[in-house]
Amino acid sequence: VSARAAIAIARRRLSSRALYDIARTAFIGAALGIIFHSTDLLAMATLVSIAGATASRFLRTEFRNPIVFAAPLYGRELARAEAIVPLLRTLIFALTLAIGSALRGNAPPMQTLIIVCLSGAVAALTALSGALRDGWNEYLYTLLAISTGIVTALSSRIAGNGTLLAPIAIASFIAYIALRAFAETLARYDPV
Amino acid sequence: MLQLERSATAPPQAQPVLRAAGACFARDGEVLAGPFSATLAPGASEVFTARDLREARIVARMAAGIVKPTTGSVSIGDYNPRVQPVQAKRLVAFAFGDDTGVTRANFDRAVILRAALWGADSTTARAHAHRMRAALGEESDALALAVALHQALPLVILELPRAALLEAVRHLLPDAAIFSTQVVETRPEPPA
Repeated sequence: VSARAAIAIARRRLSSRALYDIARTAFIGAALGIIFHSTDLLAMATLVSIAGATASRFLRTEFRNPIVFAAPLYGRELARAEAIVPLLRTLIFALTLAIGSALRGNAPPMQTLIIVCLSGAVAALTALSGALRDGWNEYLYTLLAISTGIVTALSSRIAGNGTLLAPIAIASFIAYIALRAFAETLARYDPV
Repeated sequence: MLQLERSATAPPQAQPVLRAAGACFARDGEVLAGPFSATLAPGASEVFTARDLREARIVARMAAGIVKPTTGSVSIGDYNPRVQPVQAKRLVAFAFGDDTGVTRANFDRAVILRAALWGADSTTARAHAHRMRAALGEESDALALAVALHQALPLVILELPRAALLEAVRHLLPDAAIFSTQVVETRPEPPA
């Protein structure tokens, strides 16, 4: 039931407006890749983290229709389902950024791309809880999301170039905490 | 000002499906809805008359376990929605009063989404919803209600329904407990 519900929610979130938004994100990613054609890990991770931190903004309008809150789903199930589209959007941005760089003859190494994707995913998951908050809290979540993405990329530098272990460990830990926090936020949320 | 009308009486031995005792919803110290109390057995129907639209929405959502009361209690079947929200929501067919975006064109898609969220079989849910649609009509709110009634559930909650729609549901589902909200009518001031 949980997987079926998650797919149904993700399909609902992939409206024509969301698809247009994803296409625009892909275009911006490719354009930035072509303009900067940088393979620097921190530069790419920062850009992708910013994209990840803003990937769930559309949920603010989606939550005005509170059908998902009426559904018999646990907060964790809802959190996983709602995370699918922001993650997809962030990963598309990361890939198009790399493709843009590659078009200028400066393709990032696979290891860099993996770490950049991890940074973006972490930022996207951390930002999810901000979708249900207003004002300063929302901005703080955006800043926190960008920071977690950059920290994930930095962990690779700190642990020494060539290792994926540190960013994978850091990303897994932060992603777990972020999803738990989002699940708790959804469970406590009162759609009035 | 607030009142509950009981339009049908259930057999005394029937176990109540909805029980609410002094349920209030407050935000930032301001009471936005309630207190409301109700005991609703299968086959019974109650209408809560609220002061304004917001209160009508909040009370309907509290009765459905979507919004958690700040004070007082609500239980659906044997479940407390605060502690067992999934089990409680499984018993409720909830029809939102605001625009749910259900049209003739996307009716089947809306039913499939509901069936996925409620863990119902899609084919059976579609057949059931189409039967309800035939009985309720083709207006936007009737279509949204037909989607909500995609399977037989013991508690039906209607947020600000039209009187004709409420009457139709009472005839259509004689065994269900039906709780609905309405706004107290305010008469225009006579000209001076």
